[in-house]
Amino acid sequence: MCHLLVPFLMLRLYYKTRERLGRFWSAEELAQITYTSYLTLIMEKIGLLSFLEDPRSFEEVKEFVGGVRREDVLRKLLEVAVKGGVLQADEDGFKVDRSGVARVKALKGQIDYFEDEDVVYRAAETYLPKTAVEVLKGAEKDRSSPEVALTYYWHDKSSIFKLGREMLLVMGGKGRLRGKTVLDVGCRFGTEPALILEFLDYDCRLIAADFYPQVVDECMQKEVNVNGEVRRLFELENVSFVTLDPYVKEKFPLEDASVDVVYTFQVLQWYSSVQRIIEEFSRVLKRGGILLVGIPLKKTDEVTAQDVFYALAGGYRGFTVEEFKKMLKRAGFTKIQIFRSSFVVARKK
Amino acid sequence: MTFIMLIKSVGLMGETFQLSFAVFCPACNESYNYKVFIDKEKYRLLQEKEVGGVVSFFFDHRSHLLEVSLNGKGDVVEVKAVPWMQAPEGVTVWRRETPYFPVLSSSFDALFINRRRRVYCDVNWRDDALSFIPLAEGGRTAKYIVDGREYWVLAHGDNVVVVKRSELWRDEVFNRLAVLVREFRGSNVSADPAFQRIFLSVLEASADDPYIALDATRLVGDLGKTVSINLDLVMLSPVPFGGELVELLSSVDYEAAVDFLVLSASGIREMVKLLKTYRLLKNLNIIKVVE
Repeated sequence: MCHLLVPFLMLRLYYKTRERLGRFWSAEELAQITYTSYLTLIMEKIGLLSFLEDPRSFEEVKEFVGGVRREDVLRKLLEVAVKGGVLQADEDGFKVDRSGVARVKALKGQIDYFEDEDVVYRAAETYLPKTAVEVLKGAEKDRSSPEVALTYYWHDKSSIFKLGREMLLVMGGKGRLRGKTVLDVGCRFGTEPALILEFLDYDCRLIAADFYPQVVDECMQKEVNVNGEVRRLFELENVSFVTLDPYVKEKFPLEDASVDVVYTFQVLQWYSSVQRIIEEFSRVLKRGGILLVGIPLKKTDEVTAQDVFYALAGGYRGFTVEEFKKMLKRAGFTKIQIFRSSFVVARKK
Repeated sequence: MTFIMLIKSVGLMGETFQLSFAVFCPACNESYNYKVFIDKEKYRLLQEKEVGGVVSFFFDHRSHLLEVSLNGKGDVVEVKAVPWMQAPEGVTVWRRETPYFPVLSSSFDALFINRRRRVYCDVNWRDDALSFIPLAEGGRTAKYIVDGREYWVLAHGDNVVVVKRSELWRDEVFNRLAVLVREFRGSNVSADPAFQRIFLSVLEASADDPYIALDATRLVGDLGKTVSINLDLVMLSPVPFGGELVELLSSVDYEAAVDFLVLSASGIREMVKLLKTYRLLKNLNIIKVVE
């Protein structure tokens, strides 16, 4: 039944944004404010905003952070902060714009999704500032890093993610997915496989996959309600689990043309090996198989607050719609549809 | 030469005290350093007495037991090497054992037995323990009906746990408890307070949560190991772990023995929380096994 609610929930989102912000806001605009507010918080927590009460050169900022090895990310952080109105830049250097900071915070307060706790905002408020500094100093972070894993754990519980996952399944078509073999890449801590199973009335063969064994381990223990009985995912006969190599140095441990559907939600932007991952999707999909991707795509190639946030939280970057289409085509996908720059449906040739 | 140090652990141990002392074993001809834990009540008794060993601890030295008695000033007053009793042919001698740390008081019956050492712990067994030990003699996991009641015998190697089945438990709890006992890597289940605490907490929670035994296997598998805890994340993580558990974890000084964590949990409720979240904490890399 929940998939029937999706259009209503979407309408509610639109209504809410109009009610609170005076007009409908596009997904890109909402993302811009949201990610700028995360970055503002991070800069505030690491003391950068206070440091920039007086104009400072890039070199001074670099020195303030200390031991910076990712100058590119620091530069982009300052750039998007200027673009977002949080900082000002002139010949004297960068300077905080307190009214801009207040405006971003106020807007963020107005669009807090579905009146839920914004879990990423909480993360940006708490442990991500430390992660960001470590990333600037050259540390490699991925989902096996504790703080990133914890953010993913929170993502698992986010209602906006739940809505997004349902949207993607709706786009895949319920009837078309029933009875099929579905590969869920980025199963995280089990919420996503549970949602897919429930959506398809348990009528599918589900392969829950993630890039880290500890994530798969947790997913296996996810409790689901099957015909009124609580079971754990590993006990279900139609569910299996695999751990994938995110850098695809080795092929995914699945046969060629062995799955009907590949489903992946908010995963690809975290990895630098996206093209290789998509090629693996193509390899394991049957001819005519469906690829369903949830990913925040951009309309232009400019660096956004979202890109910088991903980088600072240990991820990779956002892709443009065109870039992503090209990657899909290169891997042998056709009939590519992209909705709201976030939901992608494609067919294996 | 012997010495003793009495440390009241702040926060983590709560009402528990840690005694550290070195003793010389006359049988092994060697010195040993030991750490034991006593609860507040025992500590109070120890303080009230002036001389004469009021608290005795036993340490298994394979060929004999080392008995160490402490007086109220914290001095080691007596050290004895007690040889193992050799049972006459055909006669079974069973010795009652009490773990060095108080186990939880449970409303369920569990009898912890080590067959090779001929020892048992019946702190949480309301019937006559010796009447039930024969169920464990074969060393096989099995179900028995005794006087119309169902008893589960869970065996692995020399260790056996006999449990009086509760009507509140579903059938699959049996298999999961058997797995839990198999996961225990220690040598003697009857003297291991950490395992007993875990096992009894599992029994307490099994009616409401039939998966608790499964979750507990992760913690049992790590007994004897040391873990590091990412205190930053423990402090900053909001809800999932619960306030008490956050308090427990954040009172650990960066690294801790898993047994120490288990013994530090203040009661069944906190134990169950620890059992339920231990796997997740590890999978989030908030807790990492370091040795």
